[in-house]
Amino acid sequence: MPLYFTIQNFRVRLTALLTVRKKVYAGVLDEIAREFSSADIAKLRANNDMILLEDSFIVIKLRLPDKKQKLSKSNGYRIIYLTYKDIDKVVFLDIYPKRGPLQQISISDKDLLNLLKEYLSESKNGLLEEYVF
Amino acid sequence: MCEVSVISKSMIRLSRRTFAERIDLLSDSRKENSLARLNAQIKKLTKNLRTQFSTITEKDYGILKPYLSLLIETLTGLFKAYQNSYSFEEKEILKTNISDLKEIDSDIYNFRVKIFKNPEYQEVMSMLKNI
Repeated sequence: MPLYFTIQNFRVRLTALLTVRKKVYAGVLDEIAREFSSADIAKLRANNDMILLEDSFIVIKLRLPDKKQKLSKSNGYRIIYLTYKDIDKVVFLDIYPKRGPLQQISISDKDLLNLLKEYLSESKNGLLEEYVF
Repeated sequence: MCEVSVISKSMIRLSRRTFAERIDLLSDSRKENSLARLNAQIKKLTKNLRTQFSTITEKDYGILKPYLSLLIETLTGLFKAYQNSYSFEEKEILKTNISDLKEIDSDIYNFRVKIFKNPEYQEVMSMLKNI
């Protein structure tokens, strides 16, 4: 099973989702666990939702449903993660919903590069945190 | 290089079908389940674009973009025409399909075209390789 890490941006965004009034996004932790907790790394690397494919790593924008709100993958969450081709490690970079009060429609190239820069900086300074399901 | 020719032909065909659906709606000659069939075909196209994503080049996108924009525009027109009629479920599926097409369009533009022109791209990639 791969090791999962988060950058600060991911943690902030996840907390924001969990603190929205009326618990609109309360199902997000279950969706992450359902998708990742028992997934093998080969499946996580081979995902069709990849947005950046390099020699040694892949960045994936995975579509997650929101079963609590009865939303399909199309209308649920987007989780952005980075994984390496030869290291069993997954880094969660960002998460956002497609519907509701914190709705985000898309992510730009500039946003992604900023997330990757944040990952590089936190990795260098030992600030990545392990994600526990 | 992705299957540009196949995908663009599919987009043209779907734009025509969407427009025909709108005319049928106005003239009250719409066939049963026609919106459901159209929705299924749009879903198939979006899935195909997602599968081909990592092989799409800037040149491909230059060819596909006008057809994709036209299809999104035509589908949006159809959705508006359906506002006060037809089943809620198929209308919602149409709305989701339009949103999915817009999202894949944005992803192709940002991550298959624009990101490679960003001055920071090479620097970030090389740092990631050496981590």
